[in-house]
Amino acid sequence: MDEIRLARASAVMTFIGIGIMLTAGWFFLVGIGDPEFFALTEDDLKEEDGTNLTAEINAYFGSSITVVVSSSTDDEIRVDVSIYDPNGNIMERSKGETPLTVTTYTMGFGDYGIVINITGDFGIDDIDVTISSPTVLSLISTIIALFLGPVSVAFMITGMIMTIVALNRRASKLRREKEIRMERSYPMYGTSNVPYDVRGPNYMTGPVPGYNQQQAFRGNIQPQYPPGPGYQIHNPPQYPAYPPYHDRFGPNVDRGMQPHTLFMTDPGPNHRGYPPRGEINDPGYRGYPASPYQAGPDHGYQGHPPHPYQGYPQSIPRRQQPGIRMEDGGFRR
Amino acid sequence: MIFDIILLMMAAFASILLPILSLSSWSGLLAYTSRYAREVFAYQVLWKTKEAVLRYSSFSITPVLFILSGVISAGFAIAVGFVFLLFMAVSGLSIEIIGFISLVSAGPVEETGKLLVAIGLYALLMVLGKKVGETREVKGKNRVKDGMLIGMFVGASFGFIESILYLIMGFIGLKQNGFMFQTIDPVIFRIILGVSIHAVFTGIASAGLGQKGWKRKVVYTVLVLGIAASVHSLNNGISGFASIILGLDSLLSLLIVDTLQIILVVFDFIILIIFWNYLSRNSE
Repeated sequence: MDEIRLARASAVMTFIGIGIMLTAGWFFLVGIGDPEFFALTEDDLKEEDGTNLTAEINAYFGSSITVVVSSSTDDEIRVDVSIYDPNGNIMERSKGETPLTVTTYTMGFGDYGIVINITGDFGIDDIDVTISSPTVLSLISTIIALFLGPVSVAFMITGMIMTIVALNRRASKLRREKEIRMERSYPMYGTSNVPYDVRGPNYMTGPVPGYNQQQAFRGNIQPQYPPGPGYQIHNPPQYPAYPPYHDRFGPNVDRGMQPHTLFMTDPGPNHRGYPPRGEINDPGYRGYPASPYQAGPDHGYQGHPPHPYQGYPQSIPRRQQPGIRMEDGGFRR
Repeated sequence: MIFDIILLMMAAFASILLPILSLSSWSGLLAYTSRYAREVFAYQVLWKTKEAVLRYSSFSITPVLFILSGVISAGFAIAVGFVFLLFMAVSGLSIEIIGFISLVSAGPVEETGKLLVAIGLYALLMVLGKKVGETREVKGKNRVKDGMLIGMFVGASFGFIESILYLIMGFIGLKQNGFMFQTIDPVIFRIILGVSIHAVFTGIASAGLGQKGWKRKVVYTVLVLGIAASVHSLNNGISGFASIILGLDSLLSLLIVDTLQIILVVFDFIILIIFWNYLSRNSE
């Protein structure tokens, strides 16, 4: 998957995650809102004899029943709270002074009984009672919310990871394009087995006169030659480039390879090897600055090497940049 | 029973939908009043780039950042507020005074939390601006306005989260106490001002982020944070004080308190506009 599709999919994932999160939030609110909505009201409580309150609440397996008794006056009132299961067996009993909270967990379906006894000189008007139990709706909503919550987070985390991967791919693509731009601007960039300073920093970075790179790149290896009268300084190679390399590396490779054309010439008896770069006052110098080839006065060099090209140089360094090879997909136009 | 269930589901739905509406209205107001806000924000979150990868990535990242900044700043405010309340509880003050102090102290605590998140986001934007700047202009021309936009983003997120919580409490109160002015008032208030009020405060508090030079940045940030915390506390304090005095048990007193709130928010918005126009002259 390319980075654009990946980024698009990440946006979709995140929005799905947010949608699920809002849905989970809705279920969660329904879940936690339910006990508040379905607590027993005063009307559901039955008064028996002025000091006794009974109530019945329908609960389901695994739920809970919470009874809160508080005083409606400033006095602390002693109460006795009992909760019975649907079979009439006592499940929970608690005695104490208000405020008193009794909670029990239910083990079956049915109506659970609650009895509140007030001891002392107080009556049921002196206490406030709240009885609440989550309903099935609350349980289901809470379970759905607890399920959807992690799902939404998973969606969002996946979206984030996809985004990071997409941005990373984009960054590496930009880096590769920058490498190629550097390669075009500085032909020796990235080749390690050829010392850069031998050739000089600026040599032949400009367009080669009379040489149509586009044509050469398309496979037409006939150069646009001759360049015209007086052309001596720069003699382009008679071959546009080295065909096998050219196919691989594109239009810029010939510039980088050019000095090797001079290696193929006969340097003559006074050839002094590789002179220091920029010795342009040398008597035999014919105007090729910073060239590794320095023609001596006796060798009869007249400004351009003999041509046509007779052989295939063995000293051409292979490019060592895997990123610029055609088969790696690094160089396309 | 069925009616109760439907009511509950609608209340839960409204607790989420109403903050979204409030957020939309605030965004619309901001986009309508300022062209800079409208365009540069879209550049900042990269929705306006031609590069598909950046555009879709920002569609993915922005909502998550929005939720995260609200959750982090609200979590900070709740945690610090809780510790503060604990200290107040052992101090032996009366409940009314503790309530009033906690209402007033919400200003500095919440503004600091929101500003910390805004500073983080601003730094992130500057780093991203350097990273992506080669191919895309992500920064606006005015750093002060950029900082204020980020502050408003964080504030809106905080207000969004807070509105959901307040609406839940409001609907529970509505159910328990029935349809009364006191129970319907916070619901309406949150719909209208829930998001914008926090966005305005944090917009003011983050006006120092884009000032020239570190010294100016720090001095201005402390200064405008103080101003934002003060107007926040003033807002809370005046409305709280008015509620205590008037009692909130009649329509008239509620109307007076709400009108006071709206006047204060307009006043805060004017401060924001002044900062937006005048402090941004010293942008880096």
